[in-house]
Amino acid sequence: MSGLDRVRAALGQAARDGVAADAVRSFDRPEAGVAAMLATIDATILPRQVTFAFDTGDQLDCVAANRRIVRLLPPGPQGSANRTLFDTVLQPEQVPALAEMLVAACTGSTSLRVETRRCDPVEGGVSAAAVGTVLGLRSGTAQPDGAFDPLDMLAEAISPSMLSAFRLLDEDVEILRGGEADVTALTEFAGDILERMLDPSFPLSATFETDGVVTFGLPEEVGRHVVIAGHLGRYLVAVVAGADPTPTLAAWGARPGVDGSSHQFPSD
Amino acid sequence: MTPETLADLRSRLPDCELAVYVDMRSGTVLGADGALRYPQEYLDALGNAATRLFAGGPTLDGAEIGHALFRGPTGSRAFLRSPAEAAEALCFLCAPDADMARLLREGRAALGEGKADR
Repeated sequence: MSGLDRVRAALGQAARDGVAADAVRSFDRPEAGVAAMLATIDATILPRQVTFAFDTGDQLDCVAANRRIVRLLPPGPQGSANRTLFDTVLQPEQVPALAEMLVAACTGSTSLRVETRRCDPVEGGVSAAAVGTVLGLRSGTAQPDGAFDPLDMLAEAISPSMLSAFRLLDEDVEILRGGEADVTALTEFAGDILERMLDPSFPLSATFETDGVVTFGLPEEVGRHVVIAGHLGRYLVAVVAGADPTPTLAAWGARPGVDGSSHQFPSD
Repeated sequence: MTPETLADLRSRLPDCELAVYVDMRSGTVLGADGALRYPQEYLDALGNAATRLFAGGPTLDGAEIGHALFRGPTGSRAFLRSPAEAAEALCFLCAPDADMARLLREGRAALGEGKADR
């Protein structure tokens, strides 16, 4: 890697660790605009204040975290009829009204600019997927046709050597392999590690949570290693046969879009 | 591990941008060598990551982790605990597609050949 490439990599890392770059999204109908907004929310793990600035001059500010819209910030777009949606932690029963408001916000507009900045930790809110479901949009976790799930790809690649494994999404655990004792041991290990790595004070927490993999080497005589892969708040945890973890790392690196290609929220 | 030892090690790892040797007990960077002149905060961040990963466990079936390899879209990092002194670790910041097998081999050799003298 040349010196200039190293500088580029360092700048890229600094950008990822700092405030996200502005982005402009164009759309030809309100539902597509909402899909673009939900795609931003669906990719937001760490707490951020998000501004959607429409080409009509209107603007919607919200707080998002853990792929959820937590709170809408006043004043909101002009003509927003339902003021009860603003300045309060959103509740599941408000999802239909929120979806209606987002469509109204996008009506008459053909593009929006997204700006984000970090904010204090928040909890609660409603998921981007829930809002998308009301509007008949597919969940952001379902990839467009021809795309892939990197966690599925990794699981498939290491399957022949996988001794025990589970997938973790929010509080849902899907056991992929292993008996109760093995999965229990792995769960205890992973719980300890995730608590360390997802703490905001851990330098790599943001990257790991959105698109990263870590392998843990055990003593040679144990003949196993552990892998934890994270993608948009979902995790794959596995014990893999073999003391050498580098083939597992190579399997993660072999997937397409490893440069962090954009995440789409389909609108059809 | 001296800066000269780290420089010699890094010369054998073309994808390695920064090598740091840390005392996790005191949180002190004992030595560093990098392609760029990294500020102390960068060195400390790498050391802090090692401390968070290794300090106080965790274990799997009683076995302690000896190294951790991290890969993200814009870079890789490696953390190798010293076999001679468990409170010390060798840390690397590398390119996203770094040869981690080679890094593990060279890093272990540097730690295991008694080159961890200060």
